[in-house]
Amino acid sequence: MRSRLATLASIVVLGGLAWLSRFVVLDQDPIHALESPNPVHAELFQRVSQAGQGFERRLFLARKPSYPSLEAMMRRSGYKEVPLVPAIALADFAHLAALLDAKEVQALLAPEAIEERAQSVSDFAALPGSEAILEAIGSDPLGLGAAVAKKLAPPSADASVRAFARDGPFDFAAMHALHEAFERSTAHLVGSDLFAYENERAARSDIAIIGSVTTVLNLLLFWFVTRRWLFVGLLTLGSAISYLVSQLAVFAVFGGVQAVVLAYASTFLSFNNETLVHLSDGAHANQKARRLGLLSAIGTTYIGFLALLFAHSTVIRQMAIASLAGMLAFLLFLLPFLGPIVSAKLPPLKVRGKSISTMRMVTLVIVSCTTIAIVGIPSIETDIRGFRVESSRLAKEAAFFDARLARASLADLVATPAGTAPIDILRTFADQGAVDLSHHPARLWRSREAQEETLALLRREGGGALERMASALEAAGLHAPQARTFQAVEQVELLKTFSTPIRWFLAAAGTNFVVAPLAREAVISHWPSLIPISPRRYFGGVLTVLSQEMLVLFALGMAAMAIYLLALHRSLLRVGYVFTPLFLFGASFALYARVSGIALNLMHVMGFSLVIGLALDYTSIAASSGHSPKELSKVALTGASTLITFGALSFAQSPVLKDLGITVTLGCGIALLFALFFRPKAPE
Amino acid sequence: MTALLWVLLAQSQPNDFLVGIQATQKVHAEVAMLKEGALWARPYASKVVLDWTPQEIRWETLAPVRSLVEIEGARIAVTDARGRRRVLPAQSTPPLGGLLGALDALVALDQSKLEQLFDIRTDGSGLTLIPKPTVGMVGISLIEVRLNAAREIQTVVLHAPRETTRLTFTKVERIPAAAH
Repeated sequence: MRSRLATLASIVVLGGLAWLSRFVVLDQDPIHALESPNPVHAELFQRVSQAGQGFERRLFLARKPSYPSLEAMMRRSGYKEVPLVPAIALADFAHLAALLDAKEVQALLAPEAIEERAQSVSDFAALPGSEAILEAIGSDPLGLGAAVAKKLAPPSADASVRAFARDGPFDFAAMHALHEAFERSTAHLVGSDLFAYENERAARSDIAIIGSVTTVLNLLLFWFVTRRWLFVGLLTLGSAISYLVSQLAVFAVFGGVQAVVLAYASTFLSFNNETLVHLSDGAHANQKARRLGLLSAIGTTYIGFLALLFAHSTVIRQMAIASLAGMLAFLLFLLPFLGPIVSAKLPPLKVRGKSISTMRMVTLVIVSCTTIAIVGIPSIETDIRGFRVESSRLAKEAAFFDARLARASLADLVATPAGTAPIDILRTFADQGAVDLSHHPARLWRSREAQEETLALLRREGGGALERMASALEAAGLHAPQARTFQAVEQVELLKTFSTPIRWFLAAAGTNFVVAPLAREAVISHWPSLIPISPRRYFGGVLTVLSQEMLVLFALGMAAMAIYLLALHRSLLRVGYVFTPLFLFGASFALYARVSGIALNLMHVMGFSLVIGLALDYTSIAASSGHSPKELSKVALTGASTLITFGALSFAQSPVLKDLGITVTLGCGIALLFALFFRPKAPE
Repeated sequence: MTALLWVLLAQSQPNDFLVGIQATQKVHAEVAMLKEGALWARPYASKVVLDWTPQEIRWETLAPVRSLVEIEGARIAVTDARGRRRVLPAQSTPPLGGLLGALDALVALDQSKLEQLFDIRTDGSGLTLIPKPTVGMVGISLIEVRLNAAREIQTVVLHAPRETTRLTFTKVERIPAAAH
């Protein structure tokens, strides 16, 4: 009766949670959640993105080949064409006239040049639609601003590229239609929304396919081993509740849930299975050993996820919170059913294992470490292409547009603290081959003495030239221009004037920064004070730093685990036995990385943490129970469930889940075999 | 202006106003141009003779200062009162080019060309043209065209943010393509 009431209550709770989950907001692209652990770098990148230098909410379309239907579809989906490079009013450059060479100014002020310019006023006045040109002449009557602008035309991307911006929210259905049309065409189109769409589509597919496969196989496995509908029902209902609770917990903390975290939630079946199995069949002759097994199994998993809460990566923290909330929810859900669970029997598993001496374990550890030393520790480097879904078509398009932006010196930008003389700093970097100033406003900079020469000329001859232009403008019926005074230009003023399409000078976190394109051949790591601000390099750097940070967390987690297990087992030999498979896993992973040519990334390291959280259970429980057939049965069942779950994840479309799946499957597979077939030899 | 645009966009009548107008081979017209707005110290009035063929537009100003503007595709040449001829610098032509392209379609009353450049609304006595964002017509927000009873151009009013240009057409001689 009590169980029935609890089941009914659980179903009601499930319904309520399902209703609440309708309000959860999804984040499509895991890249968007990345933020540099260095707050200055993070704010700098944010400021750059806000300044319109980023690619958020934008699509870029090449003019050729032309696809009017695709363009119409983009407009229907809420995209409006915006200038790729915002226009600069030429008159705004006139105040930089001191940067012109005296000879150039002399030519502009010459009577013939002024007459020519005055004549153009009446030419344009006679034409319809000449307002913009006449206004430009009126505001820059001597053509000084135009000369400055011409001397260093602001870098503009290929004229064949058009930009479209979205104001409204991301619409998956509209993007689906647009993406389909794009794939059928030969149009060149790229943008963050296309990546976001591909990532959400992959996450949806992973949720549907991987989630279904995992659920069916886990339930089948559970049924074949336990032959109890109660267990199958509890696992199904409890996992549904833990899935929804995890979603809501992440949403409550972050205000949005990464789609990839939803797909990852299929792993809860495995964690829940572990909890259920270890709580069951509690009639144990040795209650101390049972408690030890239970605390080893559940405690290590919780420690693994608690360590991940300290990660800077949003995706990792979301996965950790989802896992902890999901596991706690499942544990709470089981409470009313504890009686039947504890009294349920599981079939024992007799395995003819081998005893392994301390010496052999030490030998295994040494061999593993030697293998790692020979094969080499994989390099820690994460590229955003390894962190999110990117179809080959979209990758080609990104390369197509990158090449165009690079031609205009808009790609691969770096920032460095500006100090009081930012152009001098940039020129030092340029001399070292670090930055390319060939399209940079710093090129215009002239010494104070050189500027004074030009200013003297302007003071001497500028007034007369302006009077002649004023006469011409008034004769045409236009307002006379106002006289202006010219002054020497400071370095910061020059950089601030050229603010489109790149803000070459900007403040972030209380520091001024100057921006320049990285030289083509430069290796950025040679100049630690250069901060990457272009999306690919920035996110790649962030991912690498986060991976390194995760390695530290992993080490700390492993240390915490060792202390926890030492306190539980009170035996160095047992703890040594528990940890031995981790060394074998380390050697196997190093071999896998060498053979497949992969670099160590954030998700691999998260996988390591999960391996210590999950795989240590197997050896820990086996050792604490003296390899009793009953506990080995539990180890085999939970291990098989983990292998099914993470094995399925190895086939995910999302590279994040795939890397996680492969790593955990490898680690848990080795640990499971070791726990089942080797037992520590009791000291003589 | 926004309200005006909104009202105009709401008038989504079928765009058949120009249906039946024959393709044009040549147009000769006398035009009075009046420019006024914040840009101008006083209204600018000029008298112009316009000659149009599919290949070229000749815009000859007779007063206040004589000049001749010849437009062939993207090339714009100006001959001043003293007979000096020069081709306008390339960087000054794009802002003009968009509008002159529109003038070309307007004088010819070429519906298909107009539809490429504008969103067209009709109100019974004329057309209201709103430049499409993709055309890059700098500074022009709206063009109003009025035709007379013989469905010939009578006035064209160009609305720019700080200027209004009114073109009044007289003595329009249009040679249809078929009659040429």
